[in-house]
Amino acid sequence: MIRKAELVLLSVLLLVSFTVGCVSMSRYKQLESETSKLRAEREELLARISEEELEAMPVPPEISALRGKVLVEVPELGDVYFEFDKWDLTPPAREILTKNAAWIKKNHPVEVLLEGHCDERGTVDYNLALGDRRAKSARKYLILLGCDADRIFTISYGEERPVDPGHNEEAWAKNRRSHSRVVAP
Amino acid sequence: MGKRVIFFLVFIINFSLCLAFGSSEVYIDVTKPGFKKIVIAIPNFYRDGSFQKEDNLSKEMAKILVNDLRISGLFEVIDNPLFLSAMAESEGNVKVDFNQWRVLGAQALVKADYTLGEDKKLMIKCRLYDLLREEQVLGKVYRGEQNLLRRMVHRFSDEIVLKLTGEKGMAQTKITFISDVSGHKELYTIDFDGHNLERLTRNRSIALSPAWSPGGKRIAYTSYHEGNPDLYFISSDGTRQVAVSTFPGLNATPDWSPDGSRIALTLSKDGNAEIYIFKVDGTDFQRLTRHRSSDWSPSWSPDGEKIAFGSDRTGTPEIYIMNKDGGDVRRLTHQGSYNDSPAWSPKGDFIAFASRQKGLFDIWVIGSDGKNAQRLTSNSGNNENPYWSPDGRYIVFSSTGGGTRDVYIMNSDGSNQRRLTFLGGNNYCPSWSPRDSREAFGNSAQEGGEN
Repeated sequence: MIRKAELVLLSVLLLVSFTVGCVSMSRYKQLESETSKLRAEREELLARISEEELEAMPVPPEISALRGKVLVEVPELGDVYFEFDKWDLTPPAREILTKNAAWIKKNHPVEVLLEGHCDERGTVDYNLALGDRRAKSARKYLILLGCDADRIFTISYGEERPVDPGHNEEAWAKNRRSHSRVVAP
Repeated sequence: MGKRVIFFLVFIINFSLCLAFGSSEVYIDVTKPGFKKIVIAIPNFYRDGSFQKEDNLSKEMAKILVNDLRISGLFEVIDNPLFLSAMAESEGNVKVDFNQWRVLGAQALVKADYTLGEDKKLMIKCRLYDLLREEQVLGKVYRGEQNLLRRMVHRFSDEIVLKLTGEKGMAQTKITFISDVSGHKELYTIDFDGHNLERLTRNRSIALSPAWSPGGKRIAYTSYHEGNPDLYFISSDGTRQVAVSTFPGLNATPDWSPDGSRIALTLSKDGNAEIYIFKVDGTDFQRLTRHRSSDWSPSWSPDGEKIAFGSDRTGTPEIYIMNKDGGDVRRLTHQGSYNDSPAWSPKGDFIAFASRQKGLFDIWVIGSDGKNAQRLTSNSGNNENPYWSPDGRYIVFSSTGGGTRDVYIMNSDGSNQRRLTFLGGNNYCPSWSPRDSREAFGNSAQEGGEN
């Protein structure tokens, strides 16, 4: 036979657990509704900002010097090549740049665009920065050799415009380059 | 003996009561490792509420739904719709014989039928049943033009995912990416399930690094078509585009702040690549990094307070984190010698990135506290450009693992890898749209609920 005390104890336990269950359930439901309310507010905020996006008219802060200009190839200006992951100029590179500088000075006031390129092996984003450094490295040297700084521009193509689409050392070496074009007179 | 039995009985009753009242509507926690997929049965959709008529339209709708749930990686869909359809037919429209479905091993069941009005408009009625609780838990009605069929089914599949896993599905989202299949690098968009490929640009130049705005209405991207790598906004349907940042040098690798008010990007106008932020109306440019090395590829934290970025200030590319004003820079990655392309999860806890080991890139995730680095891809060529889904459950990335450079999606733990692009050429630089914004994708489908 169960003693009365035990029965009472059991009933109390039952009641307590039941209550705890209900309370935690209702607390959970409360949290749930708070969360969905916050979510709804956030969605509304995002929707409102999207409207403003449409209204806003972005104004270009500064026009790049090359917009709209026509560029032509010049066979006399040779390409300079770089070692893997580097932007400093090797002796052969300096020789080519010296010849290029002579042509540029002779054809003053020609405007020159120096391109910086990479092979495919780095990340897309890093190679944009690396190509930028290669072009600027070549530019610095040309200025040292007496070219007009105001007439030499740079552009980076990262790994996006290879001359050789191959996936081997030979192709990669050809793609790590700085190429020159000039603004049509 | 009697005492013990009674005590045991009371305990059982008590426990069951607690379970019954304490249970929530979230059935599975997909963030726990080793979660079990939900088994769901999906017979064909039926026409006009009667089970006699079954045609290509109903099969197609079921196919879309089955595929959505399967590729979500959260469900095991019971195959053989013909067999299931016979079962559905046998029990009639109104009844559900829960037992016969449970015998198949299913935990959930979908029943749907549609009508085609005289105006050629579709009306689809969808119901989701919980076979363990033996009740209907979801009922939706969708109305719209026939050409919105996929969108309507995607909408229902997202509701199923929400009901059974606590977070809305990704079936209605899109991915934008770069492809050179046309001969030039242009911007494209594609649905989560790989359908609806759309070409957005015809610049016939080089498009790069797109980033979808949090509002869903436009995409920021870099293009060379006016002679310089400038930053543009293009509407998500490709109809309008405008230049936003046109400094000399790079205007690249944009990333929107989570509230959509600012963009962080890389500019090289001051000498070498540095990170700036500006307001989306084109004003208020602020420089954040001032190192003589290069800094690039910013990625905002979801609370908008920090920015992860790539930098080679120690000699090789590593990932760093700074405050949104450029202060308090700390290094995040310490493994290998080349870590780049950070992407901060919308949940804030992890940052995905590309890490080069033994000459090849793989996608890794690391806690934003710098701990718990995990590798997600391996033995699959070069894997780059990771980007998170808006629910933080998936990562889209580019890979050469299949022989060609294509866009892939995987679960955030590296499982369930699926190729997304089959158009040819090189496909990379993916970015994920926000959760469906009805206005962004312009449709007139209405949603009603009978639940």
